[in-house]
Amino acid sequence: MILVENMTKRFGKFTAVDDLSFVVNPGQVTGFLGPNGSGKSTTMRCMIGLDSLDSGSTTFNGQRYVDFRRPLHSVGVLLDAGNAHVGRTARNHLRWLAQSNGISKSRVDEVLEIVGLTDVSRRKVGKYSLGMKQRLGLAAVLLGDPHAVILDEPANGLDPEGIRWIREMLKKLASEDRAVLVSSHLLSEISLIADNLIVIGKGRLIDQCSVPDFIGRYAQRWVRIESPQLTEFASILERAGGRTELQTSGAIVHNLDATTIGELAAKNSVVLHQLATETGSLEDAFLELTSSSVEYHGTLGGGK
Amino acid sequence: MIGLFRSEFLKLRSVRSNLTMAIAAAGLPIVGTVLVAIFISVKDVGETTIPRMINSAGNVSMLIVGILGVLCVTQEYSQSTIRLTLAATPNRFSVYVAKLAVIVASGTVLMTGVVIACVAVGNAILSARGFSGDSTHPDAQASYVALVLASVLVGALGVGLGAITRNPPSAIAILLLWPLLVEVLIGNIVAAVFSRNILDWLPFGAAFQATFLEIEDLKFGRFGSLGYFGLWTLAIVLIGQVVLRSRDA
Repeated sequence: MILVENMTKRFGKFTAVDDLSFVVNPGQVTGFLGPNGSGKSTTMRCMIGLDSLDSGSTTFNGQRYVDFRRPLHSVGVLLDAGNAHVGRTARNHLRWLAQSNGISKSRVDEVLEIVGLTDVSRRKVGKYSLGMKQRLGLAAVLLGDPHAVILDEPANGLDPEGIRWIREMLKKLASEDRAVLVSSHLLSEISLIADNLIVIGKGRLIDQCSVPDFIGRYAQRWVRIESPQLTEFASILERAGGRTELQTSGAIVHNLDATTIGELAAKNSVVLHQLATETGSLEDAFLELTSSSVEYHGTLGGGK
Repeated sequence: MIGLFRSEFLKLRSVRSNLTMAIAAAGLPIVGTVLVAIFISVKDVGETTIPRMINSAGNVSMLIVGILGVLCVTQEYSQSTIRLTLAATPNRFSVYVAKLAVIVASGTVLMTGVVIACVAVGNAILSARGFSGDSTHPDAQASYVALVLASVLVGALGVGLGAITRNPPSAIAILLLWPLLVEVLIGNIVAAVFSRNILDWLPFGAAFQATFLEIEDLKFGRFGSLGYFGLWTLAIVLIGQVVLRSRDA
């Protein structure tokens, strides 16, 4: 289990992480979400002691990271796929890591096989694509067979096959009772792999819950209807307090639930061909929740 | 700690630029000695011929060992591997000690090998050319030992400078400009204004002079001067350790 308690990190007057607390349970993939600049990477660096904390603590099964003599056996970390010397071969990159933690050469070969880099292991990292570097980073994570895994944007630069591979890999790691914390901007990916979510904004915890709970709490819901008497029924719904958006096929109704709409249809002898409740995606929920925490906004341009 | 030492040694030898530096440090005195031994007129050969050649080229090698020390640390920052290094070994002091140990060991082996190779090759070529006199100066061995020790100290200084600056160009510039420009300027200015020779008090001035054959005028003696340079090295190494411990990776 990974336990973060009251973590605060300041850079001068800027508070990057503000009294952040959360738990990452074993046997689950926990998604770590937040807008750009929300403090996700800083949090991960602080968790393993790369950045000093102003206050708070992180423990892995009750032990601080800095107290591990051979931490790769306990915690696997991928913070940046580019954390490898471009002039060194992948095999040598893993070998120096392995030697520093008393891990055998044969384990280096094993993890190269697992991530599919055996054939190119003697090639210099500088000649690797971003996707290959990500795989190498994951090989480093797996070296010590750790019980906790921390990954910052592991799917960055991976092709669809690679994304599917990492999805299965993370699920497998969690199924082996490891605590898996993974940050990603690919919310669709997170929705497929994560059991729990930790959402932060401006360095503060916004929510920690399961994915369905998160969507249920923050995503909008609406009812999709289709009817041959759509225009007539739309005015009935408006009078009942609904807000109707006519579409090319059918309409979307806000502010009324499916039961109410069904009863109104029956009462007014309106034929319905479709009556279905729809919910926004994880992305919708995330954007809704973090809109006030976004530091950097973009525009589509073109306006005067 | 042995594993960490092996890990750091693997890092050092698995990058081509480091190997190039090591080859340059070794090659310069050897090539110089070979050329001198081949082209010098046999009647001009004396007991100082080979030691002088080794010491003059060895002083350049000494600075190259220093650059190797710089790269040992700064490459970690320029290539962002420092995060992985400190994630694998959270005890920063151990990492720093391992890097110092690797540079000290590598510098010792490299420069000892260079001296032995230069003496052997130089004497072999001179013998083949018909030189039958004594080519061994009585102070040669002491100057060779001083050269190896000074190189090791400069290597350690490079590690310290690397930890302080975290930036290869800055650390290498300091390492080269300090002896080749700053100390020369300071020495010349003091000599011109106060008519005093302070070369013995300048760190690199003391280290370089300690490797010379003749050291009669050296204020602290050969190994005293190396000890003086060692104090400067120790100070830089300690500052480097403080910086490495206190700054975010």
